[in-house]
Amino acid sequence: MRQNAALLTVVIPAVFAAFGLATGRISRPWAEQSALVGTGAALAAAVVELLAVLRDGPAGAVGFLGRVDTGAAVINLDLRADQLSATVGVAVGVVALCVQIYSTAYLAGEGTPEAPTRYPAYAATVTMFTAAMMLVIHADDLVALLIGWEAMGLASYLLVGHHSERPAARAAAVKAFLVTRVGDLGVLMAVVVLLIGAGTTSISSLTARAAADDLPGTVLAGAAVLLLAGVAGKSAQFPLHTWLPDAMEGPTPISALIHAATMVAAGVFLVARLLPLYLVVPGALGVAAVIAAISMLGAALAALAQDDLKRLLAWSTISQVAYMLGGVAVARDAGGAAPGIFHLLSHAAFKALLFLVAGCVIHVTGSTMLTDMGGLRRTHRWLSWVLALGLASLAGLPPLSGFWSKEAVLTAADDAAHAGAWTGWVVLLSGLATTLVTGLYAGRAWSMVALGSPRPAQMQVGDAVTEEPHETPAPEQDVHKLPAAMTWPLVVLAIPTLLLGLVLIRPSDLLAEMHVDIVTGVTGALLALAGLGWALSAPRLGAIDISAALPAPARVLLRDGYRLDDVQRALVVRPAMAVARSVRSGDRDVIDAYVRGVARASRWAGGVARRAQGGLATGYVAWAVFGAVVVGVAGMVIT
Amino acid sequence: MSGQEILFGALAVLAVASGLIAVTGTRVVHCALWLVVSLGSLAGVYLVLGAEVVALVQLLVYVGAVVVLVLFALMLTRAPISPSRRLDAPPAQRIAAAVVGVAVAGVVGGALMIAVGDTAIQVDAGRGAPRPIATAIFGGWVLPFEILSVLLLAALIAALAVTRDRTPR
Amino acid sequence: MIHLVGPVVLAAALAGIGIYGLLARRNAVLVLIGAELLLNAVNVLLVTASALPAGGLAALLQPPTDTTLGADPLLPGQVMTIFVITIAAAEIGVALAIVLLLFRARATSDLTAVRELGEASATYTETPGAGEWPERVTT
Repeated sequence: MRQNAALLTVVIPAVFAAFGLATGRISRPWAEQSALVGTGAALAAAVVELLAVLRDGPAGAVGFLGRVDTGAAVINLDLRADQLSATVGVAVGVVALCVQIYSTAYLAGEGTPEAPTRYPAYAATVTMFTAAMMLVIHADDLVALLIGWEAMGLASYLLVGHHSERPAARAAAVKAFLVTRVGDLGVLMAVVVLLIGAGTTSISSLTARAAADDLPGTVLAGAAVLLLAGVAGKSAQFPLHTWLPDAMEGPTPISALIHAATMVAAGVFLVARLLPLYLVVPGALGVAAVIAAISMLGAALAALAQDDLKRLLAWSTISQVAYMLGGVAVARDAGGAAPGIFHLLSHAAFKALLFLVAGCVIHVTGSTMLTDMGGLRRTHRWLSWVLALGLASLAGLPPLSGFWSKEAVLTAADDAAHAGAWTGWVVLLSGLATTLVTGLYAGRAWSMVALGSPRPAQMQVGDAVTEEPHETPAPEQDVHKLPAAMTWPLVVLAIPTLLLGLVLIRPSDLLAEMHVDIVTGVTGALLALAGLGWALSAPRLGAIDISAALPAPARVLLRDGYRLDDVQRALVVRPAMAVARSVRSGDRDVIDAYVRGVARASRWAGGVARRAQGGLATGYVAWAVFGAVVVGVAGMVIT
Repeated sequence: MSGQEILFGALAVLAVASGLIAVTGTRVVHCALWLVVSLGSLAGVYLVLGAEVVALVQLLVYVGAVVVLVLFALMLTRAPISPSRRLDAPPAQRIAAAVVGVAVAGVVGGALMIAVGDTAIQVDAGRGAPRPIATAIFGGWVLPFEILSVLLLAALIAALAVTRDRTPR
Repeated sequence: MIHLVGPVVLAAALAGIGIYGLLARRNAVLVLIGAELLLNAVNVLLVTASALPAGGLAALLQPPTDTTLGADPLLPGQVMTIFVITIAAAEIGVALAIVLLLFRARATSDLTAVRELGEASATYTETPGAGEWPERVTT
């Protein structure tokens, strides 16, 4: 039962993606239905798998793509059904289904000829992405995981660049693909190292052998560090994080699914899966902790200075994923991944909620810039409360899920610090500082979007029937109404945002080794409240945006992401383009010159030869006689 | 050196010299007349070698008809009467022609001299008398003779056809 | 007694002079004079060959063992010389007709001025006209 369910979570969306791609052009309802049914069935399969695993325990060796005999080793491309994969699978399924429903309204209609919505391709790609993520989650072999990993990268490229008529979208898609590719190379090399050094890439056998100290140290160390490169790339951690803010060029539901809830969490998931390996390699988790600490605080500070709502949420994602990575990095035994995984689940809920709310706000105001928003509390009161819920969970206010998960991470760091690990101190201190800054930017976001006076765009009459006015500023103005497909997913995602903390009452085996220390919890809550209050107090100090308190050069530096994009361009892009240009000029000026030279030489030879055709009859005779003389002499000489 | 050889030598020198002047001269009509001299001395050579009929035919046809035709053509093409340098091709071409000429002469002469060596012949004048020639022509060579008649007829018709006035009346 | 070297050298010299005259002259008629000299060189050789005894040059170089061979009664050397003369006459008739035609068309008998068939000439064109007759020069 578990095995079949695990298999179905991967196969169903893959099949429906192919079907949707093939038939979606026929009619849009077909594309919609195949996407919704595919994703819904995947979610159902994940739920069944979770229930079965909770009842019967984990099961491995679910044959998926058969076995490959490479000569050096045998690769069994199998799946695995255990609590980790089932839980994350349910989370992925829920978010994916909400996003699919939301997208039917977000990408409604055909768009304009200059900016078509191209919904069928979009929906099929999202379904394909769901299948790939399910494969990554359920894979029991690193090669199978790599297949899903690469498929996710492809889907991310296609979806970020969905509005391909915009050059910014195309550039962002290429950047996302290339930066994650750098990380993917690390994963590929790690697979090769393990194949050659350990003779297997099966996750279950690797973890078992690592726990039993059966693997050579150098192989493990190499594989662990190389895999961290992939984690940094896919999960947008320093220094491979530069693609995520630009990836916001894609449609907002995509940001919710890929860049908040699932793909960016896949890196952390990989470390959690292979935690027994990491526990055996000294220093690997230390590297992870340092990366997490830098990303956490740096991204939170950058989010403080963003002018674009989606970019603010993107930097926030980088910071929160760093929390997850930090939570895993302070683990001291195989079950210690629990805080990181719990934060993964709660972040999936509240960040997806935040992105979908942002999509609604963008839909209503027609712009993504924070300066174009305001007064949401008055025009769309319900929406502004949902936004408040998401932001409060992000900041970590009790009793919301974000509070419990973040405090679980901080408690684990605290325990590790008191046990003598330096990684614990690093994660704890940067985590606490980040909590304050997170409160700051969450409060800033709410005050800029919900407080103040509404912009005229929000007041325009929409194309749908107006419901009963809840809080119209003036009776003669109608407000822009949001379609139901965009509001119901918000409700669905708000539930775990509110209630996920209840899991701690009776946690499953996966989440068993996790608790929240009261001192840490109170400290964290106070820090979050301080940040929120500080930000919300900005109107009293004259401005609605607290980041105006920052000195202007600092603000610009933060907004541009510490100019790391420029560093990347100078270090990587410019040399690569220079190499490309030199290769092209080598081909064009050196090799092509030979080709052109051949042509030119032929013409020159032809020009020379044509002078023999003088047109003078006696000239031709002369040549003939001369030839005859030569032949005669040759004949005489030879004989 | 027999008398025949001396006579032959004198006529040969005359033929070669007048041939040279014919091909390098600057007045066209003079060239044609020097050609007459050359052809005539060649007729003498044939006589020395014992071919009477050939010598006479040479004089009749070559000197009497061919050179006359050449003179007619020169007149009809308004050849310049005065000495003209424009009769010769550009110097480069002349040098090439000289080279080719010398090469041909060298090859032909050299090959034949090697073949011939130092041999000498006795000329039998009776062999070239009219009766043996006529017997040979109308005996064994009658078919080529008839074909040549047709050839002459064809040449006549061709010359007429080529130069016919084609403007419609 | 005539040594064979004489006629051979005469023929070679006439051939060389004829070739020179054929190639080095501009006027079409003078070119034909060179051709005539060339033909005469051949005639000299033919007549010389007819004067050879029975058995030909080989008999001269090496006295034959078989002395019953008689001279060829068909006298090929001399008869062919007559034929060559005839053909030369026919040839020059047609050639001069062509030269006259050229003069009518171009008012010149200069061969270097009529180079249209050669690709390197100044008046060469890739697409000549559709084969009309050249204009006639009225005399």
